[in-house]
Amino acid sequence: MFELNLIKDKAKARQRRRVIFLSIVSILFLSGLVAIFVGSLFWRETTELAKVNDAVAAREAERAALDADLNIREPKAKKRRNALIDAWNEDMAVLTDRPYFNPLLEDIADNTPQTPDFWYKLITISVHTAQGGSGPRGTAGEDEFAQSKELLNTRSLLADGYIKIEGSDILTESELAQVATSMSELRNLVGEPTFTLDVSNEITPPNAPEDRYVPFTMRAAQTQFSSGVIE
Amino acid sequence: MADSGSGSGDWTAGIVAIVAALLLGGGIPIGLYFGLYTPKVAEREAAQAKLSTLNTEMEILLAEADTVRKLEEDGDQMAERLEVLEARFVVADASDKDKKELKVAASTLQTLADRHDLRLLRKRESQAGATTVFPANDDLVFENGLTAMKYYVEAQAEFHDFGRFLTEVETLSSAVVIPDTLRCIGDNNGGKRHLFQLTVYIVVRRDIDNIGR
Repeated sequence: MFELNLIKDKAKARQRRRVIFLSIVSILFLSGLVAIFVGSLFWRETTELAKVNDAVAAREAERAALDADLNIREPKAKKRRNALIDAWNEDMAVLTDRPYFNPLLEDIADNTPQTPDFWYKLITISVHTAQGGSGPRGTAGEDEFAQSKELLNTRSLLADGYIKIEGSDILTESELAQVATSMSELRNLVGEPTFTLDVSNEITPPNAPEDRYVPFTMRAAQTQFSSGVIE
Repeated sequence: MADSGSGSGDWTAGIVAIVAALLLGGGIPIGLYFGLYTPKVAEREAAQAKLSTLNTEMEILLAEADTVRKLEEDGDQMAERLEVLEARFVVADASDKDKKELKVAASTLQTLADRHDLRLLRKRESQAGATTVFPANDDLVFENGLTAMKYYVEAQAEFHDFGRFLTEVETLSSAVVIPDTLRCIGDNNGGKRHLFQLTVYIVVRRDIDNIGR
């Protein structure tokens, strides 16, 4: 009876050890599986991170290259475009605002007083300065480009001549005033001309003491040339 | 009784061993998860956020690149339009040392002067190679780079001849000539030939490729 019990005890102990062993092995096996799963997740993240880091590095290099390129190109492009626009405006100004002298000469030739004894001895078309008349041109000290600005700017017209007084000084003055109003082109281009008689400096030819020749001056000085069209 | 007491003690040791195995077996994956996996995920997310920021920055830069490309195209278009506008100006850039076109333009003025019977001033008649149209060797530079070359026209001529000459000069199709100043001095002897002193500028074409570069 005692032996039988002993055999039974041994069998139970063996079974108990087997259960405990199998339990521990199962636990460790499952734990290993879970650890492998976590490890695979970790590995996936590691490779993913490597890819993202590569992409970041590539994108950073791309961005830096583009940024550097734009930093060079943008100011250049702006500078060139603005310079071309300035050049265009300047060319347009030259083409539209440049002066034409011929209409002035035509008007002077076509519009004369009725008296045949009339002549110009000096006609000057010069740069119109703030002082009026043909003053000195802009100097380099004031403005480097003064001369080029003046070229497209206003002109003064000054003409000196002699006219024979027929009738009276007043009649001659009125005749000259009529000439001034009939100079339409000149009026358009250099403004209303004004004639002045210098009676104090009249001359009398020795062979005709009854004749009086009086110097006169014609001025126009509000000249702003602008054809407004490009040819 | 002795059997049951001994059996309970054996189970206790086994259960302790099982619990220990559970703790050990559970701790390893949990440790791996929180110790390695989670920081790696955070690292990857940070990298992805950085990539996303970089993508946004790239998009902004690409938009900027488009703007720059448009600026460059605008410049090219302006250059083409400027070329058309300056077609009437003469070429005399720095590479053209002989300034051939400018000389041709000046020679055109001289031809016109000859055609309209503009003659040399008496004081210059004796000078060898004297011409009624001659250069002043003076460049006029405008504020934005345009240049013009100064020429003198000194001649004795009849008023109408000079007028016709001036008309043709001012309306030349091959060059843009800007009159600067004019001085007409009447013949003191009452003759028809008067003295004319005209200053003109012949406008020179720009080197368009180099503008703003």
